[in-house]
Amino acid sequence: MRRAALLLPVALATLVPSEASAYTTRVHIMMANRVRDALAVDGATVPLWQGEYAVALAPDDARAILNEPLAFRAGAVGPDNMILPGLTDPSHAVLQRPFEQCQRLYEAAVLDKERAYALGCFLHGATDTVAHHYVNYMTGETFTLNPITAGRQQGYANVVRHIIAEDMLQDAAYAGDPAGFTGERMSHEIPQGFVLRTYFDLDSPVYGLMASRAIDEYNQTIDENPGASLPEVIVALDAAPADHLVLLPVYVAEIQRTRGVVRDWLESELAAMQDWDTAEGAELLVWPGDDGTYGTKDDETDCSATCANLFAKYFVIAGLLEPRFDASGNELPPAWDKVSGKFGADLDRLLPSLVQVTANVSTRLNTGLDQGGGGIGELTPAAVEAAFDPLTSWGDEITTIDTQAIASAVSPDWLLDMDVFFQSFGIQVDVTAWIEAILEPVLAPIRDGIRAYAIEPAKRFVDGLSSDYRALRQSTLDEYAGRLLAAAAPELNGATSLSDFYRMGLYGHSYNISAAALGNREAVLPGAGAPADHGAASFDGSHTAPWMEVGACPHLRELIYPLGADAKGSLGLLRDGVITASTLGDDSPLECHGGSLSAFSVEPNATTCTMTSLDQLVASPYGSISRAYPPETVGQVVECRGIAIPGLPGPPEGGAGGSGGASADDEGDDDDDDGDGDGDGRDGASAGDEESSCDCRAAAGGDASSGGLGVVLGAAALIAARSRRRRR
Amino acid sequence: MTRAAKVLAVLAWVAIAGGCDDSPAPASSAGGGASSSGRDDDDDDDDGGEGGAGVGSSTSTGDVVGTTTTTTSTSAVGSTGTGTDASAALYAALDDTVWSAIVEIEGRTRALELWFDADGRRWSAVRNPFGPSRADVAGEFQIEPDGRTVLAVDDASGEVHTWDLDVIGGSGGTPRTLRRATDDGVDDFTEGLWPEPVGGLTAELRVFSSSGPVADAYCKAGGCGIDYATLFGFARGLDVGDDMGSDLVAGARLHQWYNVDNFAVTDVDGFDPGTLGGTELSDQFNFVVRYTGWVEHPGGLLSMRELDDDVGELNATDYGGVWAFIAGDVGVGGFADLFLGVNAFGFCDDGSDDEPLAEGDPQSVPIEIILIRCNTDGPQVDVQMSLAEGDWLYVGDQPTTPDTSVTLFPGGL
Repeated sequence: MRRAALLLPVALATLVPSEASAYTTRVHIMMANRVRDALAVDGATVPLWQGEYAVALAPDDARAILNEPLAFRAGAVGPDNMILPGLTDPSHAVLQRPFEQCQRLYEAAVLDKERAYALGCFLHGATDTVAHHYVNYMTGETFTLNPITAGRQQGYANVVRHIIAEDMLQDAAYAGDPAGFTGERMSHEIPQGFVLRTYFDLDSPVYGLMASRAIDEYNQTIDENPGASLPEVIVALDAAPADHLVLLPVYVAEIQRTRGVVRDWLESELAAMQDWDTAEGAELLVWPGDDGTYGTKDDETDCSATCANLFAKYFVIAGLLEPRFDASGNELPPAWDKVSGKFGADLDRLLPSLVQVTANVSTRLNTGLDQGGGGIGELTPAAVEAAFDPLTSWGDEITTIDTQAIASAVSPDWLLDMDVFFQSFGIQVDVTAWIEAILEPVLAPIRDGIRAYAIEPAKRFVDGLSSDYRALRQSTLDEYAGRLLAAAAPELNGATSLSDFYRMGLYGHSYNISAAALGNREAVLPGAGAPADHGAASFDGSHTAPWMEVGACPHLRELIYPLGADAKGSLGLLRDGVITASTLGDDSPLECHGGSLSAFSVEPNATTCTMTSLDQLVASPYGSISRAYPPETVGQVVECRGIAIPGLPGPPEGGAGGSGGASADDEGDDDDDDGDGDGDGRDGASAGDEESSCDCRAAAGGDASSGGLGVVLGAAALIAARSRRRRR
Repeated sequence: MTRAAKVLAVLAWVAIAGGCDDSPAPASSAGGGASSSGRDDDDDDDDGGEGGAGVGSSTSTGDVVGTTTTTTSTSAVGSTGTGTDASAALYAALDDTVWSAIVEIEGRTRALELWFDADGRRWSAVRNPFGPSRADVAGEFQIEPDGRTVLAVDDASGEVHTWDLDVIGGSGGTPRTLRRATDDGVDDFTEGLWPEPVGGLTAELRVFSSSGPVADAYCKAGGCGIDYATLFGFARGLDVGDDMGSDLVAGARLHQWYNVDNFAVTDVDGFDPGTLGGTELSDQFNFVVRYTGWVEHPGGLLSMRELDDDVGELNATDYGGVWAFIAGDVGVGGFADLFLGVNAFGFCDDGSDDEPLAEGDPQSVPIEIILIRCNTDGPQVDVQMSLAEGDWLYVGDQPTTPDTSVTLFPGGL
């Protein structure tokens, strides 16, 4: 026993073919492959793990999974790619309604590969709800960048411990089936257009759900900072990098809108200078020249050298807006429209660049283990730099504008004419400086906002995470190995249950819930009530099973979690109908604060478990930010809705029965509960329809941040970086 | 280079070309590039615009697909286990087909090709297949059970286009019509590729920065320090780091570039608004145009000139330039290989005689002509050619064939 305990860490470390660790997304892909392989046998059903039943899939879903394996795998890691590794709160975290995001993806799917990707999303979430209960037990807390070990300040330790715990699972899975982790089996293809259309389109219901919280905060920040420019709003928002990335479509839309605002401002300024009743107009006294048209270079003014600045302003703006003509008399766009249009086109490349970075990182992190694939520890600064190249190149190109080059390239005649024109009046005017000033409201949000607060922090995050991972890996592995040995059944003779991964409850339950979710998505989707009251509040939290239909309904719970949904059940083994139970005596913590930021309450109850936000928790250390506790902790009953999963037995006659909160040990206790049994499973299409699009107030809120002269002059303000607590 | 040397060079090329048929770029075979584009719309036959035989047979009744039962097998549909009779019929009717039409796109009149591969469920749309402003999008599509509604998803953006498609006609040897109804209106597409231009040359236009290496290589070069390698490399698309915008069109006629302040890319034939909506560029200075294709030479002497051998000579505000290569020097030649060279720096070697000559048998002679407009007023440029000792005509008025090779103008799928 003692000898084995000493050898185990070494043995685990040698399971992977490279010195670097592996990453958990491979396990999701492996799971997707196994489900798909099972489905391929008859093309219609997925047998439960070591069970007698098989879940029947809808024909369209089965076809999509079978025909589009690359997209199905990509979907199976999709939430972990959204938005970047470690920056997954938008697609996972509490109150982000992650399963409903999957559902909206599913509803948005047009093509089979899109449907397969959306179904992969369900598989990911379903698997996470099982795995994270175990992982949270190992790490001590739900995935967060503000762990209790740091007193809810920012720190990577918790995230790193999560990754390492998941690495161990992958090592075990690889040891049990090396062929399941080859490059061929890991290859995947993100349907990037679908991701752009759903996750990064302001009008998409998926985006509306994923970004609703971030948009609310964005709008609140605007309300609290009336008249602030977009860069100022971005700084004041004080959001985590992930939230800034989520808000990129909002920022892009706002900047594009600002282009129009600037043009309107140019027009209004020109009109004001032509109006003799305004102060500037009275000084300039503009009248049309021989062509009889205002706003052309032959306009006459009452002063020139004596009102040089005003004179320059008038003719620069007039020149920017004046239509151009080629030698054949064809009208060409005004210089401003040409410059602004090129900038707008460049701006539209941002989101595709982000999705490309996501794809780059995903490819990097899911290289086959037979091809030297490593994990996040392999993401050296150089590798991160390479993966982020599409974004950094975009940022560099769009913010290092050589105004002279652009102006002369897109409209050199205009620039030349302006120089000659001003020289003829004996006035020296730096026309390009004027263009730079006018462009500043458009450039500043990119330079001082998007690049400084979204791209660079995200890059630093991935870099820092990788670095901490390398530093903490071995000691954490040693700790985990010791605890697993302590929890192992005596009959395992010094081994742990990880030595037989594919017979672990952890694997079997993950597989089963995936099959159930693919058979009927209602198995994991919340009911119609508030998301914190029913369903998986997140993909990250522990104690999620009893909140979901598969855990709340005894007739499903027995089939999906045959060894129990707790950590002990995950660590148990089922071999040919014989259970080898873990000796584990405790479980994942109930994550409720009762006065301390660095420890959970020993008396979790409705008061200490009240859902709260990180900011509120820090202000008053009571409540839960993860909802990682079972319903009974807060005296809640999650009723079984009695949904039907094709291929699985339905609820007992007379009612669905049962409710959430039961552990493996008391399975069946609730069989006599008086569930309504009316099978009122709602139509999945209605999930969250009240938020069927993004909060457009983000755009409307932008009105306060820009407009008129204030836009042009205000945007030049310097942005001071602040270091404050980041939201998770 | 002397006249005699040029003649020898061409004769040498003639001999090589006749011996092994190993023509240099442009890639099209002698007599025109029509068959070189690789834009066949059908794997089964090469009948151009008539489409695949199998497809045609599926709608031989001439009725509208979707209201007609077809017996054509549809392996794609069958393999996925979906598809009503109606959708299967439309899948079959669209498989391996190309359709073309003139349509309004963003306020401009453009040519548009629609390509379909039903087996792979792929579609593409090619705007102005031979330029200007050529653009293509592609993705996957599926036909709804009604056999008429098509959801075409753009790979790049994810945008979903919803079309109502009807295949009409096709009997009696007349090409079928694809009627596409969208929220923007109804367009009728004729089965077949958009026809290739049959005359003129292919023009590649590239805009460069006024303060970049290309400007330095020529426009701002002083003391005969012209960097021809940079200039020609940029014009040929080999080094486009300085590229501020580009466009491409086949069938452009090289006529006079005239000396007015506001001469723009839209004044260059082929990029003008009258040619399928024209280019989306609107630059007026700092661009090069590279013309390529074949001169249909009747045999005998071939000569070129810039009308007055003046492209702004010794005029600092009036710089242009013309450089031409023929035969084996096309696409690869440097200063030493110029057939015709005219620069704006009066004391600097042009690289050729004022009216160089070449001689050869009747044949299609590959040609490459590069013109530049600097950040100056621009001179008048008249590039002319004489064939078989005939009249001097603008190159655009001589018998030429544009390069329509697949490299420049690939098919949609």
